Parts: sequence; C-alpha cells; structure tokens
Amino acid sequence: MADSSGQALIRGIDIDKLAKGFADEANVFKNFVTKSATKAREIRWYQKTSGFLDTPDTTGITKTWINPVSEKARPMVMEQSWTRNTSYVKKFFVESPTISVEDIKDSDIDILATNVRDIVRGVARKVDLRIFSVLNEAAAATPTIPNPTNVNTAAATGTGWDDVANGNPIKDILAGKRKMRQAGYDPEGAIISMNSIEHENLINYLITVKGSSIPNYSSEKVKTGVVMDLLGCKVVVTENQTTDYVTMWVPNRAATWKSFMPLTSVVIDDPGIGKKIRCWEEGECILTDPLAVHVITDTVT
Amino acid sequence: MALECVLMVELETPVAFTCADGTGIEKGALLMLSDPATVATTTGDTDAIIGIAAEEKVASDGKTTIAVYLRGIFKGYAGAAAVTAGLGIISDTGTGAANELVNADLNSANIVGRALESATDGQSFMFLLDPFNAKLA
Repeated sequence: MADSSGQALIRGIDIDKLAKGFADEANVFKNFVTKSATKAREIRWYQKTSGFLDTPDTTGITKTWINPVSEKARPMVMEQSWTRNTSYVKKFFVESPTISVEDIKDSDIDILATNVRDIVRGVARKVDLRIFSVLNEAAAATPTIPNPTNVNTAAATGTGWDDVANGNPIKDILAGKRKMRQAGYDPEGAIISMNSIEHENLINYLITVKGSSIPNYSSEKVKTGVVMDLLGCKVVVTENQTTDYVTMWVPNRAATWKSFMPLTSVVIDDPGIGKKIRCWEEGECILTDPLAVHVITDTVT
Repeated sequence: MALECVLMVELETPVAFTCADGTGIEKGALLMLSDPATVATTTGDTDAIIGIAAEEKVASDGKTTIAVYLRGIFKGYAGAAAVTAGLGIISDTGTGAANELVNADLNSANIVGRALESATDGQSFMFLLDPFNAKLA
C-alpha cells in the first residue's frame, strides 16, 4: 500500500556510520620489559645467583675467609653459580570468520578494517596479560591473580589503600623500593602498575587524607600509560592489572619478552567469497630478575 | 530469536542451501533440513539439523538461498536435559528455548554433533557441529 504524509515508511533516516560506545584500553606492560628475539621455540637461559660472592660456609664455620688472611697461606676458593632455566614460547593465535565480500562492500561500518584493528589489539592484550602473569608469578590456572613466590611481596598497610584511617600507600611503595634496593637494584624510575581502583584510592589518599597538592599528570600517558611520577617512580594505570594488587618493577630489567614471531596479521582472500583475518604472535615472557619486582597485595579492603 | 550459536573454529567454508524468501533466519540459527536441500530454523526437538546459518537471511529480501556451515566448532546453549562432554546432542527447541541443545536420547536420530564440554540448562558450551542421521529401528 502506498504511504502518504504522517506515515512512517516515507520518513527519512540519518545513519551515523562512526561506531561509538567504546574506548580503547592501552596495552602497557610490554613497554616496560626488555624485548629481545629468540630464534627457537625452546629458550634456555641462566640466572646468576644474586648477591656478593663469599667463601663457602660450613655448619660450624660461617665466617668469611676473604679476610683477614695470614701471610704465606693459600687463599680460599670462591666462585659464582648459575641456575639453568628452560622456557617455551607461547603462541597467541586467532582468526575471524570469513567476512563476505558483500558485507565488506556495503556495511555502514568498515567491518574489515575494524576487525583487523581489534583482532590485532585482542592478541596484543593477551600478550600483555601474559607479561602481567609472569611479572606477578600468577599460576597458569589463574593468570590474572598474582601469586608472588620468588618476587618481593608485602601486604598493604592497614586493610588497603581505601583504608583512610590506617592505610598508607606511600609506605607500601617505599617498602617496595627498599626491598628492590636491598636486592641490589636501583628502584629509582621503577614502574608502579595499578588498576584504576587503586589509582583512585591513591589520589584520594594523597589529596584528601594527607592534603598534598594535586599531582602533576604526565604527558606520556597517551604513549605509555604513565599517568604521573610519584616517589621517583612512574605510575601506570591499566585495567590489565588486577585490582587488589599493585606491582612495582625495575623497567627493562626485571623481565624480558622473548619474541619468536612478532605480532603479525594477514588478510586471507577467498576470491568471490570473502576475506578472513588471521593474527598471531609467538613469544614468552621470562622473569629474569624476580627480586627487581615487588608485589603489594591486599590493596583494597 | 535468541541463543544463536557462535562460530568458534571455522573448519570449512559455508555452503548454499535453499530457504524460503519470506522468513528471516538469524545468523547462528540451527537449521533443519527438508526436501529438496531446503533449510529453515529449527522449531522442535530432534529436528533433522543439517547445519548453522552463516549469515542473516532478511525476510523477503528476494534471496532464496542461505550460506550454511555444515561442520565447525561452535558455542551453543544447553536445554533443561543438559549436555555431557563427548555425547551426541540434538535440538531442543520444542521443549526448551530456540536453538537450545540437549543430550541425544537412547537410539536418537538426527544428531547435531558432539558436546565438547558439559553444561546445564541455559549454560553455554562448546560443541562440534557434525550432523548425521542414522535410520534407527
């Protein structure tokens, strides 16, 4: 039936083709670990025993034999030791369904380009989460829950950073710096990674509880996720960090991302039918210097 | 419609089947087969499922074919009788909600595929779409 004025079928419609309703979360951990290539899937690496060398102790004698040493006596022997480790690269791999040439041609939104971008970002995020897991020694079954075992760790003061009466994030951070320093690492310039919840509580503590001036926010945020400097460290806020934990580490020292194959995406063309996007990255994060990491636990009540 | 299946691993390219022009079909709908090589969205229990819609069919758009996945790994939804990893599964749209799947009965025909994980009513699970129909006594 034909339509006339006042009927819906002959009304115009405005289509806004710019997709909305989303905001991109930056993947930041990879920016702050050493990156190097591995030419094989099996990676053998060695951890040097930390600390200064000294002469061996026995049960009964625990003194050093380095000095004092009497003239004409032979010196005692001491030597360095290493721990051999083996790691295996992990493959991060995904593909899109076949997207028909018709959908690519006439969809209001650019589904091919958007899928390429977001599939690549999805893989990059999983790589970032893997780095988070390794830095925090998370168990394989619970990759987002830190399980500090060999790294430095301490529970937050009071019942967490939202505990305005007894919490003390400044002391928690300083304790982390101290522990890294005691292990021989320079904690100045360390990264402090936290969820937005901890960031909210930290800023509230600084300004409302302690009456500090409002911190300057870094202009590096867009590039690296660094939002401000605090106590000589760089504060990074990311949703990839699990709340209730704050992780501090010496950048480009504590861990290494060994890249076997870099982040790669290809569009596979099936002429006349459609295109499929395939994306992969292969590598593994190695926690080379666990004592260059400090995990603050229980940061939220 | 709801609870359409979601593609998880694309094992092969979809194939065109005949469908009615006047009826819409959701992407991811379980499709039952009728003669000749015609598909429609499942409506009952133990339907003769042949595959899963690879695209949305708009009602009355003039097209009488639809791309159908005949094999693949999908995410589906379990009906009240649940699904068990390793067992054959059948359609449950008559008893449960549209596109739900449940464990096949003893001597059941029209197997949709095999559940790759166990799930209870309303839960999602992974399954291998591998439809077949043996003529049983």
